[in-house]
Amino acid sequence: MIFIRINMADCTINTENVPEEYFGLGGRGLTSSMINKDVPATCDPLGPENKLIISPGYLSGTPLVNTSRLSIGAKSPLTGGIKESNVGGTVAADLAGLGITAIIIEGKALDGDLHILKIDAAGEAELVEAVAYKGMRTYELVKQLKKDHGDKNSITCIGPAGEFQLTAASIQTTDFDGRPCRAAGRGGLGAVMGSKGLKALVVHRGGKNADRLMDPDTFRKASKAYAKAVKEDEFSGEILPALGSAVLVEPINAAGAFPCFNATKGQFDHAEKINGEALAEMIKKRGGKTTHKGCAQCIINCSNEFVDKKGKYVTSSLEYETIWSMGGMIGNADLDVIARLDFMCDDIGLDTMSTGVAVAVAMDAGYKKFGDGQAAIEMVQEVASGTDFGKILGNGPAAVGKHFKHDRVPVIKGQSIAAYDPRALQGMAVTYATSPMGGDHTAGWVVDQNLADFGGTLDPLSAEGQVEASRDTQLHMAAVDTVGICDFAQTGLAAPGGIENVYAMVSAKSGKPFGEKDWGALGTRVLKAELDFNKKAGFTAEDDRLPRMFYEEPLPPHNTVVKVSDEQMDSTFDL
Amino acid sequence: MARVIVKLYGTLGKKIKNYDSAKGLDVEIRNGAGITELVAHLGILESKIGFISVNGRIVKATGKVEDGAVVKVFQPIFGG
Repeated sequence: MIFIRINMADCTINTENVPEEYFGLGGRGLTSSMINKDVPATCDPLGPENKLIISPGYLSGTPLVNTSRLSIGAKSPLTGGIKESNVGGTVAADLAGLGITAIIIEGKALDGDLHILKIDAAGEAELVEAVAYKGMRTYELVKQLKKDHGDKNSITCIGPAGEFQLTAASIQTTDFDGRPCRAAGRGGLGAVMGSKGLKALVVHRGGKNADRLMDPDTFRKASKAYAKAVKEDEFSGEILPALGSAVLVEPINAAGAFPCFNATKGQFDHAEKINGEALAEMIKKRGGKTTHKGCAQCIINCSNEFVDKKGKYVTSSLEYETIWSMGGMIGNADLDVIARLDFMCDDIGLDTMSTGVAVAVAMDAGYKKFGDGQAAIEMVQEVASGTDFGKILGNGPAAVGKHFKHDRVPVIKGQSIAAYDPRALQGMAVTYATSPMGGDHTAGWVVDQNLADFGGTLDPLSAEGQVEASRDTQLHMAAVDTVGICDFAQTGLAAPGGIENVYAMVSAKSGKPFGEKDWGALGTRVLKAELDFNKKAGFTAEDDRLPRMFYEEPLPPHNTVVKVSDEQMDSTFDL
Repeated sequence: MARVIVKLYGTLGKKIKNYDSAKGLDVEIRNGAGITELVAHLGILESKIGFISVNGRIVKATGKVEDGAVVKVFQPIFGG
């Protein structure tokens, strides 16, 4: 249980035992607590006082399935508030396997300095000079790093976008097959990593020094039961393996909540060309892969390998959010174009969501035509080339809106919405507006409460019940992101006895009792730290609002606007 | 009799023999039948259904089937 602190200004590395105040924390709980405590909330996110904190979940590195989830935290240069972005692949399992609880990157590199941080089989950290990799796109970088450091490593890195310190820059990490196609996309953390002169984190895979479990027998019993529930659930056991997250296209489109043409409509006429069913069929026909394992210890296998008409690799882990942002949101119905844009964003190190929305804003402003896939590809290429417009696009939708003086910019706290229009799923209006993360969907996904049970327990077009649903889900997700269980493996949690299994596993690791009250307290502790930071950073209730377009423009086909009032938004968190 | 086109999404199509995803199912059912009756007629368990849309609008279990409608059936969804 160690912290590794690296100062990028003087290249010093210090290892310390995890202080008692952070016992029992990992993932988002750890990063948000530390950022709130140690980062001055008004600091320059690209300056020396910001910290980039990298932490596997509390249950990462244990025998529990679907726990290779890494949280990366910092002050976000995109939102100006606290950020936690999480990602799968293998790195969380790798770090936890070496007994590393967090890596804390501090300070700011001297101009021109570039390093990689290498963690070897003994868990020892070393900064290696990396100017030779300057400007490299991530796929080429991974190829080189494999040559130079062997292939038994995970690589967590930035591309040119992060090096340019653009606020839509992602941090990419290698998947189970070693491709840098998994993304900690949101919030511009790639820019923070770039500002600290860190090109990549190279971590030895297969360490056998994970934190000792205080009660391994109880742990194993609960984790077996949890895994069984994940396998037996139809969504995680059958639907996701067959179709991936792309399965969400048709249901969300049917609900009229699929934001298209820069969120001017909620249903896409060509959904059948880009839906999960069409994607799976195309992949199989061309000899690509579905039911693909993207992350260590995963038993769902929701990933995919997309190939072109000739069977040549194009991209991997093509997800619902990217199909939305590079498909419906920009009026494009061509899966080959979407796949190419997905690859380009992974390769350049850009958040596919923010980038697609940025392209949509540019098209809405009249810069290019909606649906022009080639224009979208050229725009994204400009980010890598470092042109003036490329830098604007790489800074995300708000920057593009400002550049074109266009006021239809679907961002909250500077971060774009996700693939759920808040006018047709009113609960998502609450999450987008009130999450400390800005426009974020995983922070408080309330879609099933609105659409499940043969019509939903809540009315998706009404504000009633949405605040409670969003609040409860946000608190719950803060705890899930702390223990590091994959979102899709939450089916294990929702099964009878499921959450009790999670309590049992947390307790079996820590040796301390842990139950329902502790789970609630954990989520509350995390949200409190995040809200506290944002308050200190200068955020007020006025920042918990959606852009005017969502209150004024009725969204076809239901023709509704956001109905959640300001008072209701402000009542969400009374912690 | 009412005639509807039923389209099945997710992995539901796999449960019906020779299901053609492009065409969907051409189903005849009594006029005024409810959604739950249609579902039973198709042999799909209600517990396997997330929600249903009729002519582009989500309907509750109490909804009715209209002649000529396009009915889309979805499984429960989760995640992000």
